[in-house]
Amino acid sequence: MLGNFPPAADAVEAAFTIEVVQETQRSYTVASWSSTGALARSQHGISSVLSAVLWSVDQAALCTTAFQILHAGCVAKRKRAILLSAPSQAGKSTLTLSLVKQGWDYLSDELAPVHLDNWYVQPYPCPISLRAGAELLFPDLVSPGMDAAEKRHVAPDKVRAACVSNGAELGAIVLPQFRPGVRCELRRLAPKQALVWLAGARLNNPKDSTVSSFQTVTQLVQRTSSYFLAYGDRTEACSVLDDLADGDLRDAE
Amino acid sequence: MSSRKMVRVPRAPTASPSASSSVFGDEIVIYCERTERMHCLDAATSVVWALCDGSRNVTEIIDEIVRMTSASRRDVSLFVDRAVAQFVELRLLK
Repeated sequence: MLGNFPPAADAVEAAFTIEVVQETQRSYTVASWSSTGALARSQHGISSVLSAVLWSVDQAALCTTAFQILHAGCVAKRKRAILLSAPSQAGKSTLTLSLVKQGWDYLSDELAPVHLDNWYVQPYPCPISLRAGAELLFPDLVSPGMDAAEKRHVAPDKVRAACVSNGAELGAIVLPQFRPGVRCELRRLAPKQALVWLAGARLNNPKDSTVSSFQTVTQLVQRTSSYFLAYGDRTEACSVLDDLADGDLRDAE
Repeated sequence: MSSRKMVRVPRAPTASPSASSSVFGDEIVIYCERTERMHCLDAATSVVWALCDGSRNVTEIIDEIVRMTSASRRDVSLFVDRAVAQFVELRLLK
């Protein structure tokens, strides 16, 4: 895709490679690899392939910046950002979408670029990617004629007009875990527990940084309150995070 | 025959450049870039890790801990030997 673009004068080798292999008529594997790792994901339908390629290119480009890039969703209220870091299938995207619908500002569903000087999170307002079936939780966002990929990759302005934040200071780190039937509980985590979790969400070593990304994330968890959120009901989870934003985060302003 | 693996302990144990550590109170968390693994050390093992700074051999690390605590030299020696051997096995030392 980038083959038509001349390489930079100082480029010595390809830093990043993407390969798309068609497995069946509608099934593809998108593989990307760089010096920092490799990733292969199966996709159905060409629009999903394009999303995956775009995501891979963006990730590779962002990882060369001076920001600490974390694999996390991010929303903000009154300019205080909450990082939502969770493994796949933990309900991160549905929670992000629910919060934005309820008035929170949107920063990202996938990649959170954190500025190391002021701990501001820059927006990376990609479409919110729901897993198959999760679009049924948001029937008001589905219009007749949309294909499956459109239903599952929700543009932020479809959720709420002008919902994208232009950046917000990091206020809290939340590790959400959706489990059907679980009573909603927000539990404070010790910095060490948060580090063990968040270290796995690092995607780069920030450019020009004098410390490793592990040290950066250590600083992040030492200066920011971290919580584990177990929930079985999205409305309750949103309400708990509203309380957090109205309480602890506001007190920290 | 003992099933315990023999490990070659460096003369003056020093953290590998690929091992980053962070201190949380009296405990240390180490991330090894080479193995991409994280290790949470308890308080006692953290003391041993902190003393693996290249300025002491294992005997001197034991001496230092015996001075700092009321534990017997034999107990400290067993503990330090085991901890340093583990650091070696986990490729956390140079």
